Amino acid sequence: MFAIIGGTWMEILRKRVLLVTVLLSLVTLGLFFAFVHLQQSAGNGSNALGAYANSTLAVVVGLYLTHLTVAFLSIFSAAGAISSEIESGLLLAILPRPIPRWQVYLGKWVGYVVWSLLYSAILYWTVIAIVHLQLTYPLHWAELIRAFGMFELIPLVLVSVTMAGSLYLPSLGNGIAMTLLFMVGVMGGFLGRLTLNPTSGDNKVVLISNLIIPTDAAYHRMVFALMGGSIMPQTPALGPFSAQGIVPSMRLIAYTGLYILAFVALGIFFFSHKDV
Amino acid sequence: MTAVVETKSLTKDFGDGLGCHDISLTVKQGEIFGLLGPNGAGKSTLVKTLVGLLQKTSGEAHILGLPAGSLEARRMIGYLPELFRYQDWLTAREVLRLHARLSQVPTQGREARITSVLTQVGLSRRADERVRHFSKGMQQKLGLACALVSDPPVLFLDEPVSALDPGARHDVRQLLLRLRDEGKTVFLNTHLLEDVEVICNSVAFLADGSIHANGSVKDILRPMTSWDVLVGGWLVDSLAEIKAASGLALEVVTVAEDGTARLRLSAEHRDEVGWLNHNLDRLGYFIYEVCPVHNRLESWFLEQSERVQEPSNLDEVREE
Repeated sequence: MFAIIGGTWMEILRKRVLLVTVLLSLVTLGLFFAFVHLQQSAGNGSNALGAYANSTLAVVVGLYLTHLTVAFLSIFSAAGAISSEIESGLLLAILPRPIPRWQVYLGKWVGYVVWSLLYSAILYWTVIAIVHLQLTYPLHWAELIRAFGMFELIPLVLVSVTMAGSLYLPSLGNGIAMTLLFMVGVMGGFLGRLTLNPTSGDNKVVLISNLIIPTDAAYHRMVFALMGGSIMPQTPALGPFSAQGIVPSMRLIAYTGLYILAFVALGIFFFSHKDV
Repeated sequence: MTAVVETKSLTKDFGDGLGCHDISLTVKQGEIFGLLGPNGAGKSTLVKTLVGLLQKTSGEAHILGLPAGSLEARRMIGYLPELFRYQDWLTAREVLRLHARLSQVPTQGREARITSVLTQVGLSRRADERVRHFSKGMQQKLGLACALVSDPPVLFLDEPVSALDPGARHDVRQLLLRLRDEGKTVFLNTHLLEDVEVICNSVAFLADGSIHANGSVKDILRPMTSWDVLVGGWLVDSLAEIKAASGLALEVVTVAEDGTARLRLSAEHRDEVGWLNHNLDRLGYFIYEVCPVHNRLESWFLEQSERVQEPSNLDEVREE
């Protein structure tokens, strides 16, 4: 299985996916840096509470944008993991080797997941560092690490679903389908929170979209964790980006874990019985 | 000799009537076996089922007594797919290293083995170049090296020389013959009948997913009881004249404008050839050439094809 993992990383490195990703990420982070710098120059938040709200807003906006970047990278790097290799004939030479198919599938999954997790970790901590250095965002490590854990669930979910999709959908079709699926989560969370009565904890739009794809639940639970586990009075200013009103429960986060396991298990099962 | 590949009523049905059906065959150790058949006959389906890429619908298939497609059976085989591509972001040596690791070639001696197979297929000088710079023929050689890297006792080669130039094809043929001499078994799927004639011990003809004929190449190519005679000085009534003089069963195959004719003599014994020559000489004809007629694999292939294939079905046959 290590040969497959190594092969996947080698593919990412040699096909210049890494180089392009790093360059585009630098552009994104550069823009974010400029946004935070402008916030600092504007001098919003002359009192301590205002400054904290300002830095929190910057963190949440930064992580919202980077979670989109992470999502698209996860989807498009794994979109052709199986289907494109079958179409091109790469797997025809690999699968007759004496290695169980579950190891081939899991090896590829680990390869893509580690790559996506590393990438999202770099983005997450860079956003936090930028806001901390420019707007003195306080570093509460317990909250930051808890939030980081939630953030990392996003690429885990997306790589798992996308790889399972690549068993039967061609690369481009799978990429489009998974992007639309991800957008179901984003739109569900967004629209649900826009129409929400803040006192209501029961919004079926959000729940259903979270059950279909729980990436938005992970994002909003991350925001909740960044707030120190409480809903701050300033968070309405973040609108649908905040966890205001609906905080995804830990049961939903447990569901996310099961969701990931289920898709990996289904992927392995169907790949093991697939005619290639 | 031990049966290396053995199938009994092996069937792979795709649900639309296509695939291969009720295949029973045996390939013995040290043989080069040629699987022949028209496009869409089910040859690649059969090979893919034997190497574990497709799951059989029914029947039995064994490689060296192990269930085909099982991990144990896959340890015994090397496979070159028909439609292949190798990781073009790797060098040839790196591709082989990956395949050697996947095949559990022991670390000790792995690099030496890789160098050895690169030399065998003629890629040693390009070993450290990225595969993306390789021509189709070079990639085919690399595919052959991948199939050989674990030194397996059984090789499944699906169109192994289709992209090679004549020199490289000759080299591959020699390599396969060497492997046969070392006791390896080769299961060859190819359209190149001249290669099959030269290197295969036995063949089977597959059409519409079923085996319609099989046998040893030696038997198929055995001399027929016919002789071709090229004569000069041919005239319109020459055939009647020679038949009357010799009393032999003769027919004209071709007549050329320069007055030469190719005659075919059906003869049970060589004496009859001598008797024909005597009469031709006596009647004043020139004898340019006398040779026994051999069956060719191509004519055997066409004969089998005509038996099983109707022209109206050609367009419906699935492309492999």
